Amino acid sequence: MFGDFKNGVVAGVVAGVLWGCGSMLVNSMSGAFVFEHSTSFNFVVFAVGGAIFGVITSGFLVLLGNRLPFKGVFPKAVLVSTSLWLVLRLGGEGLAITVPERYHPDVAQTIQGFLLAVALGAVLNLFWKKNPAS
Amino acid sequence: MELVRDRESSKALLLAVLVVAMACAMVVIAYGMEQVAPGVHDAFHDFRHVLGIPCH
Repeated sequence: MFGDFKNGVVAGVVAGVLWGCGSMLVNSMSGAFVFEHSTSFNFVVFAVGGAIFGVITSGFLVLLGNRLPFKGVFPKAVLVSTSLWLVLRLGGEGLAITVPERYHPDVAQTIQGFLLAVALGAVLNLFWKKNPAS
Repeated sequence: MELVRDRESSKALLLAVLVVAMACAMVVIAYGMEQVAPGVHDAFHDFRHVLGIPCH
């Protein structure tokens, strides 16, 4: 295992909440999507969603970290977060192909989502504590 | 010694279950699966768009 599992989960929650709230800010500046819910509601939703994405990313980083072809935490975290996003995005593309009347892909939002996935890896790197015993 | 090992194993198992549950939640949120969790599509609608996941 790459680091301590408990520390990884805690780092994932903290990094994810910050990343989620930061995502709101980034979207407000980019204008890729016009928010439909209120800021206060979205603040909670993005924090919860961010925490979940952060835990998953850190969980995979703990499990796969030693097998990834990089030495530092930063490239490993970015590889895991972007890979997860890519899997979800490809699944979304599949839905858009099979149910085109409901799921509509958007290029600007996709580019923003990819950059935010990179950012999640970068934020997780800041909160990652590698267990010296591992 | 045995007790400490059991406690560590239980803690690791609990965390593993947590991550698996979170993984399921992530998929439900990402695709707005109303059949699994009613209201999840609307609640996480903006979050999904910001991350670039296709939506209506």
